[in-house]
Amino acid sequence: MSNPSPLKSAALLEQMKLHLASGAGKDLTKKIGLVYQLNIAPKKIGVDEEIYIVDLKKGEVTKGKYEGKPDATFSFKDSDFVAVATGKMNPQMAFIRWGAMKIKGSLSAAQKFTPDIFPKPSKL
Amino acid sequence: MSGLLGGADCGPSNALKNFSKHVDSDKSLQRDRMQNGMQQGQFREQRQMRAEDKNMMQEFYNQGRQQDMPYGFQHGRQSNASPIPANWDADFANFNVPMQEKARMEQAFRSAPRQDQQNPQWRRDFFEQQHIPAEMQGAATNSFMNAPMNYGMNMGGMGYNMGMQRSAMPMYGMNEQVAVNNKGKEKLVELSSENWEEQFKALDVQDHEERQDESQEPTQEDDFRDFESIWKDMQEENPALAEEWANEFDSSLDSQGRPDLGEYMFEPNNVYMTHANPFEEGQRLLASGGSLSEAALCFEAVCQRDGDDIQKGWSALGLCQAQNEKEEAAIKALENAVKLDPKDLQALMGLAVSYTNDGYDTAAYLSLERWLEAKYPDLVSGIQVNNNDRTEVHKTVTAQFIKAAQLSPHGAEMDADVQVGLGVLFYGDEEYDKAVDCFSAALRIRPDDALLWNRLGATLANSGKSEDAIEAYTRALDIAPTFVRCRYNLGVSCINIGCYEEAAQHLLTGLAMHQTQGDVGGGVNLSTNLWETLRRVFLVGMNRPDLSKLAVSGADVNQFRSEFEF
Repeated sequence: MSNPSPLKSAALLEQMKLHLASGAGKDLTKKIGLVYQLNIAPKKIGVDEEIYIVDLKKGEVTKGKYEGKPDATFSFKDSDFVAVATGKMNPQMAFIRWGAMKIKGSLSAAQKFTPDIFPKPSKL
Repeated sequence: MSGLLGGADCGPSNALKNFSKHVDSDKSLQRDRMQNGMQQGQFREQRQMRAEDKNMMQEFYNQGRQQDMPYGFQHGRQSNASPIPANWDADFANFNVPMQEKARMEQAFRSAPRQDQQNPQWRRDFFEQQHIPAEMQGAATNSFMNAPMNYGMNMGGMGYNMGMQRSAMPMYGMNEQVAVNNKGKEKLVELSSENWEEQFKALDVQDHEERQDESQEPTQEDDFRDFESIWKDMQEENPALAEEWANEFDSSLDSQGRPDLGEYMFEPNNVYMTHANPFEEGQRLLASGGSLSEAALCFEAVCQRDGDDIQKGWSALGLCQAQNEKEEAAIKALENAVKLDPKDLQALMGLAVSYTNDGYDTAAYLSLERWLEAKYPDLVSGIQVNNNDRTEVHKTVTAQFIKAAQLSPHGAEMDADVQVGLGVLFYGDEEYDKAVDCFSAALRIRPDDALLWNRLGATLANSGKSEDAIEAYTRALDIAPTFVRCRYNLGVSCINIGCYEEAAQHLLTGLAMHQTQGDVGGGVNLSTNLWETLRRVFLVGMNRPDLSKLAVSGADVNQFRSEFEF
């Protein structure tokens, strides 16, 4: 249960996995139907990255490279991904900030990758 | 340039940090801008503002009400302006500006080279686009030159506008305008990682030109481009500064992993300020299942008076705001409480929970350690751990809590709060099954504790057991019907099982509870989380962009009563 990955993002993506199995998650796959690759680095983009696939076609989250071509690929620093996905960092800041996020792939696919696809956390 | 970054003048928080605070938190932006204007004496002669100026201020105000909409939901801004309280300009005057901080910023910016001198075009554009009347331009230009702080403020303004109106963001384009623009001409663009920014910009220009005729606010796009060019210049001219700025988000935590959230914001026009005993009144409201927002007003009154009960006031206020689903306000109040009494057990536990909810794990664990130290001083090992290592801190604190739990493992002597602390620790490490055991154990001792039922529910929900969670939430709400946080959680669980109508009802019920006698908009400490979740239900769940447009922070929830029962 305890996560072997040092990344905070890993826990978040674990939540995502559960979310995709839920009712809201199924609606999401129906609606979006695209495959995203996330390259998440502990400190610096491009260094020691872990690759995750958020497959909103099949409704899966997997670790490791995608067999085939994802619709869009994002590179993030761990803390930035968590901040953006949980709505803490203004995504506009992520865009203008130097090196906070990189994108490859289809623009229209990238535009559909919003924080709305992540589950809302419940609060203690 | 080093003066801007870490000169002795800057004090503990550096200028850029404050800068970005103003980019993020537009409320301070408006008030600083307005107040600054007043101080310059420019407004003094014309107290009676012209209609045009008033409109502008109103616009700022409206923007402030929508600050929490980070994902491009903002385009309904103009047509769906939030209701403006009649006394809005009085509100501006009532905002507390932390003078110390202001002075610090002023000093910091004084030593900074000013971009505007290098880029007069930008300044011209700024005025053109903001439709600032000529005499105000004079005032502002003047302060550009003489009061370096205004530079920061105005630039913050650009960033802010950009944040609000930019529509073609690469990944967060939930904005309808974007959707419309891309419909029928899905642009499949290969972006190389090196220069995607530029390519986006090019696409943006293209988009912009294409919708010139349909766009109502053509100039707003230009605002963004100006900002971007400044940012680019900055990167070229001073990469070190740019990098520092870019890392601002990470470095904004202190050595205890705590964020700098600024001063607590009190509600203006608090009717309890003249109450004979607001603390007692607040406690009475809490005990009788009254409105948490009203209770919060009582405690705010306590904190604003210089009485003996000020520490109790902060503590109660913080715990109340957390239950009211206003996390940031809760953290600020609780921090004040533990500053006045470092052994305030309830406040320390509350802080641990609030920090956990907001993702400040290290701060949460260290708050728990302080709690343990206050209650079981013999158990704390005193081993210094590196606060930068989240897992190390977690391990150390958990070990200490397990020792505390072993002191009284059985029955009635068991310390329920130790179980709660352990639950929070396991929760932070995503060990949800163990966290559920802890909260359940605590509930055996305090079965009527609504907070505990909610914590149990949230843990179940985050481990994917929405149905079980809903059961726990229902127990909590039976005990405390005005528990707004629990309504929110219930709404989230309803979303997760695909019951969007019910989700909207619960969220709206929670939001309706934020209304007080004096303010239908929910106060200055808005619950961005509730509104954001509601918009998501409308947009993603129910496919009702029309409703989502109305669901802006500070809106009057009564407008939804025709469609939803709450």
